[in-house]
Amino acid sequence: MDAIEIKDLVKSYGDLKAVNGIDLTVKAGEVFCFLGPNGAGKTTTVEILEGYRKRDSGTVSVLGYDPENGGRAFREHIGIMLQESGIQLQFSVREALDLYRSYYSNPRSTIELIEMVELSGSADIRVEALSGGQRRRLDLALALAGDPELVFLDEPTTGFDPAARRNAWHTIEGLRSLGKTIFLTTHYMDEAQALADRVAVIAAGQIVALDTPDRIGGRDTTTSTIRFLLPPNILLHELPPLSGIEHLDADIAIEGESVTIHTSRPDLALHVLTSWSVSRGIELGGLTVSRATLEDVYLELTEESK
Amino acid sequence: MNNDMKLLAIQTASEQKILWRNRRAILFTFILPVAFLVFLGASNRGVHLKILGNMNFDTFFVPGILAFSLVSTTYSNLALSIAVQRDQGILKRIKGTPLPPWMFFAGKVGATLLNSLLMVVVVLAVGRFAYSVQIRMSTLPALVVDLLVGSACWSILGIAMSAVVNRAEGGSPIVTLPYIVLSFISGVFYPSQAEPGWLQDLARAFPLEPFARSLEAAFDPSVAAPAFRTGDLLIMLGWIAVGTILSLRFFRWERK
Repeated sequence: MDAIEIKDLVKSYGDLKAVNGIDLTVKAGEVFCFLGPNGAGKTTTVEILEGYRKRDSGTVSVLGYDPENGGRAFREHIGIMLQESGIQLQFSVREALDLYRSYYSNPRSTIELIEMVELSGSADIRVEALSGGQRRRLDLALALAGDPELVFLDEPTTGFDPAARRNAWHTIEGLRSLGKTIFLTTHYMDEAQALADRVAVIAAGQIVALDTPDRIGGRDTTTSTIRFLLPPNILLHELPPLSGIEHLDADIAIEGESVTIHTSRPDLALHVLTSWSVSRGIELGGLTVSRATLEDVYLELTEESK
Repeated sequence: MNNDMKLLAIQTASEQKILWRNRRAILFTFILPVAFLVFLGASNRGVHLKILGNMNFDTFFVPGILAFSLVSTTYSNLALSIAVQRDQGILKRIKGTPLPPWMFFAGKVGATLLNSLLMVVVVLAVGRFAYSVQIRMSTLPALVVDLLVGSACWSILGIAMSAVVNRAEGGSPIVTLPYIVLSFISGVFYPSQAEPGWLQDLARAFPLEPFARSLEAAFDPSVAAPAFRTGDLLIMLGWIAVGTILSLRFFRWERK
């Protein structure tokens, strides 16, 4: 069974169509990432899945439940890490976890939760005395308290230092290896790239792209960029010609001594260039090959829909 | 069911813990009423109130302070704690867990009952041993009914008020003001009989004056047992209905 199934979901606030006909399926065990600018309908969609909002029309199934009326049984199986939500300030980390664990019939142990988010040294510190990053880690632990099958993580690492982010990613990878389904939203493209099995980009209430992080928006087929420094004593026209070769298209440009080549077949272009340079004993300094990053594709996709 | 009882106990204990770790709440809920009890009593030693048929001041003001302190443990605490928890997003977090919504309220009410019971014991003990208040066995049933109805009434009004408050910080005066004003016009600290008629009528329309009067009757030796004051109880029951309707209509789990 799929973890999440959405068909033709619509939700308006007054005249504003916040969600305008979304279809989406998230497989069990998948790490699914939802990207989109603020106001694109991302939070509305997620909150409908979590059972916080009622939809106007369409069908939604989350773990086989309709979130609008799934009630206690539904909530037993999901964990929610909201963007902003408080924890009783007067409680220690341990007390907060003990309280929220008690709401579930098969919770994880408090010790295990504390270790998962690396708060062992702060277990008896009151929530009000925690740093922002520590509080966020407690947030994550609270979302996992009921050992949920499906975890919603809304911008889970905002405000983390780089080391804490890597640790959080590690925790999320750990959940994936336990077969949990993860529905993630983030503004960090490297996070989506590192964690997600599939990425959906939402803009103006609709999904504009849906694929793996490496393929989304045609990332795998769009042109690549080759850059290197023009070797000393070599002029641009002395480089091997890239035109007239079968299957190879290339735009070549030079700025100062930096040469830039745009091509859809970087493998062929490099073959020509490096055969030439190796046979002559010339070094191509500063050689790089890059394709559009996830961020490039994301910005392009969300720009188009404006 | 057994599990639900356990959850209810956990919720009640956690609400208690939050209160007892909050100095401001302790000050307003417990210390302030006791301070009124001590200072008002000390400054009116041996006074008899002509306007109330020569009633002993203690017999008048101890029930008044009892009503005042129960409004504080029920109404103020519930309204402010729910508003703060909504503002901080705690209510939204809880809504996302399997804890049934009614259980959340039951825990709050449970903790409120314990606080109220504590205040009843403290105020009555001070009234009985430091002042000359008589606890009459013959009016005990009326006293218990008055306490239950009054506390229920002010609890539900606290929950209703929490729905009206938009932001916890700005909410404190909105919550506290009506209750302070009512305390001064409802014959809690001094008799209201000297007030102009319209003010007495106004006070009587709200549930503090009936609460104080019904308690006073249970302690007043000149009132024959069983000392039930049906009119007062009906006014409070009416406010329970109003509070329930307002709560059901306006309660929110998330801040706007």
